[in-house]
Amino acid sequence: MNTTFKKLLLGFTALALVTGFSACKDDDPGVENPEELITTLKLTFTDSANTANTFTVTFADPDGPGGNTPTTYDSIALQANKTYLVTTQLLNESVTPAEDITLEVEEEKDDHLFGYSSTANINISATDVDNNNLPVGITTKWKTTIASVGNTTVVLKHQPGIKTGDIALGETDVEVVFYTAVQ
Amino acid sequence: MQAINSSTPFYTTNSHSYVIGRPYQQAVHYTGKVKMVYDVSENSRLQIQYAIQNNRRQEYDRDKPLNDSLAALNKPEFLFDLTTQTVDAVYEFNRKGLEISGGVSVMYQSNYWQGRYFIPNFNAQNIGAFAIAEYNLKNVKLEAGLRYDVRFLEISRLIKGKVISPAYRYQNPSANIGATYKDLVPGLNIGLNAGLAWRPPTVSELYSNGLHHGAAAFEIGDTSFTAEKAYTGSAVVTYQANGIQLRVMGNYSYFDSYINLEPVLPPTLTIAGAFPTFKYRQGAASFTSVNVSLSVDATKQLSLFTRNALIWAYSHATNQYLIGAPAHRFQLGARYSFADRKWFEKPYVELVAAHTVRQYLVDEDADYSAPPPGYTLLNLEVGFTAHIRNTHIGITLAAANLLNTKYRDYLDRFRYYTDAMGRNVSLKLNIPFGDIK
Repeated sequence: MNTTFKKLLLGFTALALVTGFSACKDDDPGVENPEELITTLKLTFTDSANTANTFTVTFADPDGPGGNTPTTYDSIALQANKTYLVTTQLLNESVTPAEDITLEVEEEKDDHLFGYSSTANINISATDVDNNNLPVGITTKWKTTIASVGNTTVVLKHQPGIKTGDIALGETDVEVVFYTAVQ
Repeated sequence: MQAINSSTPFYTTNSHSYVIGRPYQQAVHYTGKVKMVYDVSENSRLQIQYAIQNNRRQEYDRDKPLNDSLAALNKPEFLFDLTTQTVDAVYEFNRKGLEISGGVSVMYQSNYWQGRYFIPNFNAQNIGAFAIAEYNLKNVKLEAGLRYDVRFLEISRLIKGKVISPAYRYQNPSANIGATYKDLVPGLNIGLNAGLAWRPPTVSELYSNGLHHGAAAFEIGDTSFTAEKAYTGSAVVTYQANGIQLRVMGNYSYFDSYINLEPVLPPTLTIAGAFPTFKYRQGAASFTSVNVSLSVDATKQLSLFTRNALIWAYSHATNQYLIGAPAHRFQLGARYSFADRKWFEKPYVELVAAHTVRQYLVDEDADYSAPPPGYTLLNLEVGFTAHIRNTHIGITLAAANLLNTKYRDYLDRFRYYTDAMGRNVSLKLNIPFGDIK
């Protein structure tokens, strides 16, 4: 072998070793985005005719998407021909103390909208408004009519700069379907 | 489920624009290569090659952070950076119809991620040594190859604030022997091949555990996977004479530990809705395939051809056909070549009808929706070579799915939600820079 070739071969070996070693020390586990996990959706119902009658309906997935299945997934049971006042709450229960995400929605209510739709006989309307007089849906009024069963879907849409009150717009942050019975 | 059962995609919009909004992916790809060839003697030489490749992928989800100030940063939900470096050294030697080559190859790969956890950071090294011998007699060619690989894999994960670095090592031989008999009758060749192959499980097969934004699916890996080993045998017959080109190939592969991504029911329920879920599973499987292609020159200008691929993928672990395997495909085509005219060379028109049958083998209930029906697409291509000065510029106008047929393909992950692409017209220019003088 001639010397030029030997030099080149040496160069290659050195290059291979350098790249190998420099990268071997890399035990960086990666950087996670700032967590803004929502683990829990809680609906607190108050019977408007008897304010002592309150109960909550909860969806909770404390370890976030994937992993363990949701720990609490209630269904909604209401009485026929009644009016309920409902407060919706979002929590991050993966941290202690639990973080109330509803406050963040409240703060940016001009860009957020909770939507409620039910296939049972319930009429749901928002009782709160944002700075542009559009509904927010943190507090709502649920009017039941005759006995029926169905599904109630609760969604939270993020609608930065595009909010018109239309729930179809924007991006879905929360979407939970509750089995619902009006008795 | 609502999105899967809906007749139109869940999110549609009436306004059409070419602005790329969320969700989208942005990928940057670099590659570089240095090659050196040294002629040791008249009939032996040494080749050394170094190559580096970097891929950087950023995924932007449709859903931005809840918080306006975080959302305004418009950061990707997920960033993935993968660098691969390889060094190969090959020594070749030939004498009196005998060709021998041998060498070593070293590969180093590392990744980096940012954003939502998908797979952990890892370093992987592969060291392999191989030898290949080829012996050419008058009508017979014999080949044999042997290779041994060792692969090291080191993972870095952050679990409860601590860096955990599990390490894995996989090592196995691979081998191949083959024989070809040429001109049994003029134009007829027969080849037989047998081999042993393996691959280590990938990091995503081991460690995936999260939402795959490109496919809106939850993917789950398994860290207990072992290397995938395959035993293959194949036979091929080719005939090329009298304006006829025929190729028939049969192949059988048995895997003792095949890794497959399979749907699992029910979907993963999250506070933002339910997502179809897929799990990597390992088990014995076999693939049997037959490929037949035939081309006949009907006239000097017109040739008719057919290309067909049949495949049966079977899981011996579940005694069912393997989910996610391709369906049988058949193609029928005609190509008409015109005469050259001055600088206008090799003009042609080609029409192909491609039929894909419904994947009828798999268990329909094991998936989020049943395999879609079979479909036939018509593809048209017109092309010529422009001979300008010393350059040959290839120009092709192609229309895939010419009739704008509505279809869904079984292997397409979006088939759960939407039809596959409609008519797609493309214009291709192929300019060989080497010819420009």
